[in-house]
Amino acid sequence: MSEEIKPFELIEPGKIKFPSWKNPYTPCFTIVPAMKPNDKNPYYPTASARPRRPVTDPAKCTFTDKLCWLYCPEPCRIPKKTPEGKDYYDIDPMYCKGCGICAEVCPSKAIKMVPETEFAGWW
Amino acid sequence: MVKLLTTGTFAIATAVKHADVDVISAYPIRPYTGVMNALARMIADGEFDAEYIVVDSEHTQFEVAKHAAACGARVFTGSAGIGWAYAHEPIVVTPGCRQPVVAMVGTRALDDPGNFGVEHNDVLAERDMGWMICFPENPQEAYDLTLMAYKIAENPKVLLPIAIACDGNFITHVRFPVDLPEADVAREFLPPTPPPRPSVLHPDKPIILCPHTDYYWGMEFRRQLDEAMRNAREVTREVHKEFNKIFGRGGPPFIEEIATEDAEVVLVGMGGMTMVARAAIREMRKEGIKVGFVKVRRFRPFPDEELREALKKYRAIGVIDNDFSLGAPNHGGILYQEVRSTLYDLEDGPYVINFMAGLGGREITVEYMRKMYDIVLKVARTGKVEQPVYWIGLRE
Amino acid sequence: MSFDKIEIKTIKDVPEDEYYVRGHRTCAGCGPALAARYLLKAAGGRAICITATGCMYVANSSYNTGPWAIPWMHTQLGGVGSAVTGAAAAYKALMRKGKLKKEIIHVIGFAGDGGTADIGLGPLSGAFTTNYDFLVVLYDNESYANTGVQASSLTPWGAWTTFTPPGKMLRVGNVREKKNLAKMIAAGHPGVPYIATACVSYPMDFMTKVRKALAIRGPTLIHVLCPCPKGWKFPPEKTIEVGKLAVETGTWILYEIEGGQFRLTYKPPKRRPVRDYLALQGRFAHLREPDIRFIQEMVDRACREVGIE
Repeated sequence: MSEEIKPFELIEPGKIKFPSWKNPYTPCFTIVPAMKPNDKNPYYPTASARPRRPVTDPAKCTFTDKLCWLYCPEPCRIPKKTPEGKDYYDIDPMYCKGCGICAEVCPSKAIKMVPETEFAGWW
Repeated sequence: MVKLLTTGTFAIATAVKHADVDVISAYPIRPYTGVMNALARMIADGEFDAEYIVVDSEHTQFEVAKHAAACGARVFTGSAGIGWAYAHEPIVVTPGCRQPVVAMVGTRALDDPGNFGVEHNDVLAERDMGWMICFPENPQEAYDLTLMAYKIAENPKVLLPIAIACDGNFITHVRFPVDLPEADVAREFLPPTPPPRPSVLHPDKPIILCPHTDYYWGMEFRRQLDEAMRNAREVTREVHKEFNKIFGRGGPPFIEEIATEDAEVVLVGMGGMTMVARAAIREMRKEGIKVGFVKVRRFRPFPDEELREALKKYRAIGVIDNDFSLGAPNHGGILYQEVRSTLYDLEDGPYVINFMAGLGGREITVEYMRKMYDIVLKVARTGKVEQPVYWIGLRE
Repeated sequence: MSFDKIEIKTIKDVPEDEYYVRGHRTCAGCGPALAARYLLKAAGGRAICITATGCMYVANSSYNTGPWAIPWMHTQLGGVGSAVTGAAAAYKALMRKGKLKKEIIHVIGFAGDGGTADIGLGPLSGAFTTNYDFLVVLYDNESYANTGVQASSLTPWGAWTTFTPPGKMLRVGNVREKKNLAKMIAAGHPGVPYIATACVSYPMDFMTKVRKALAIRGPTLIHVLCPCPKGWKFPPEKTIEVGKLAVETGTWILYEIEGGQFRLTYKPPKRRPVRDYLALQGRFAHLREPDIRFIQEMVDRACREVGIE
């Protein structure tokens, strides 16, 4: 039994390779690694149940208000740049659950909720 | 070294002081309260330094102990009877959290109806959960076993809580000559700072302790606890050997055989009844009847090999249960079930007779002991078991 | 950790670092998840969090993992009060005795309304009679949400839950009035230095209160209202709006009790009628006019007591 606590091995994001009870990852299964700050939990990319996703219009995004970033419960609002260099906020598609809070609170109405079926195949 | 005529509760309090415990959670219930009174006085007088928290219930006591241990502290708590039952929730989860909590039980009959007399059911109700359980015979053993308890529980291969079950009144309140070592000798055996363990919360090493799991993990986790309990055997043996060396006493780790070299039959029991057995053996041997006693010092992990080795040579043995297990096989007690199950692996084991005795605090006297020996001798000599379970001292 | 600033006024003051990371199984739009995010953001990395059984245990740590980036432990449903007592006492003893390096490690207990106001009320009260340094945050989603939305003593009058469903014979649903837990703890435990109420729709106010509570020595409590889309029956994008309406209608009052002194931290400029708040939530859909008037009276009384017109 190793004293250092290591993350469990993943087959793919969200799918753990379940170790034997003699596992070398942790002294015992009730002691598991904590996340790192600003990181993401690889064992639960929670996107699979998402019925609709928020799409930002970068032109309308004021960026500095950051209300979508502030009110996201996940949180999965990530700053991105358009090819032209405009800053805007978008989702981390592996984690957004499609709640729609960001679209509600955006002061410039830059976010639209679009059914997930429009994006079939990205996963 | 100081030789004091003192009670089990004071002896345990001294062991807790010598262990330099950091956090103590207290709540009163007969008959264990004395240990908390003694600790409060010691701390108030500056004999040692610990956070002594008066809490609102036994449930809180054991939760406080579990979480204080989870932050790296050495802890002590305890309860008795129905209070131990009230703490069942945190008691059950503490092994799962891998915290080395040391708790005293002043064994007392469970309510209802209320009864302050000794019965072992309070601690034995938790026998499946992953707590190590030991039964001191007298206040001297109470001190010894408590000091050893920290060393065994804090071993990284074990990390399981341990209960010191002292017979209510007979060990908690009755005075007995106890050798209390000097604090520095105790510290030589048990350093004041526990060894580092992985199940501790500190921002330098963030961990998630006890997340919610499911069927993919549950079975493997139980097996890991099972392994820890198996490791406890070897660790207990090592710790006892070290204790024997430093203090020159302590005896064998799991069972103690009393006058068994040439005994015709033996009785098996736990706790304070052993003192009575010693007296009965002395009396009967003066009359030429050769009997002995096998004291089960540690109930969990259960001493299978030791008991099989010790008991295989007898034609008949008796198991004294200061507890009950209503509806159990043969309507016998708990120790009876465990001993019989262990002896089943023998090719040609002894007849096992069960004696329900001492229930509700009714004292097991020398006369009752002799009665039990007589019954077992009759079974050994005739080879016939008239009934498997006897209630000794019952008004028929 | 001593904070460089306690007051978080604008978006610029909000710390960037996330100590509650993405990848947990709470519902879309979960109010308590937002509370956990703000709490851990304000508290920073030199803290530990002990969470009682509930949504923020089961839904977050399923299965055998968790989104926390600080040391975290589970405690029993009613155990949050005892857990923070034990943890705070341990650090205090170990640091004083030289067994652990001296530093500030914030001890935070996080538990739901069922766990804290019902089964955990005894241990919570016991914790507030001690003098240890900890913060208990009560995330109030007004039900035992994790087991499928059952009534707790913090479920408001008239609410649907699975234990208080409105039916042909019993029309109203929940007939118990919501317990005032923050005031109970403040009134009954002399010397408690800081107790506050908050709401996830007012994150700056909540985070400021968290920092304030953590900087104060002694036992502190923050009771934060967290709208729950599943339990309160509203679409998940409305979480922030429902929380805002709770405060703007005076149904939920934001205040602090510091050193025994009561102080309103937000006064709605023009208090809206309670029906605006009730209308958004399916759990109140069965209520009739007399019921809404009754609720309005209760809210009016509570607001008058604290000086909200």
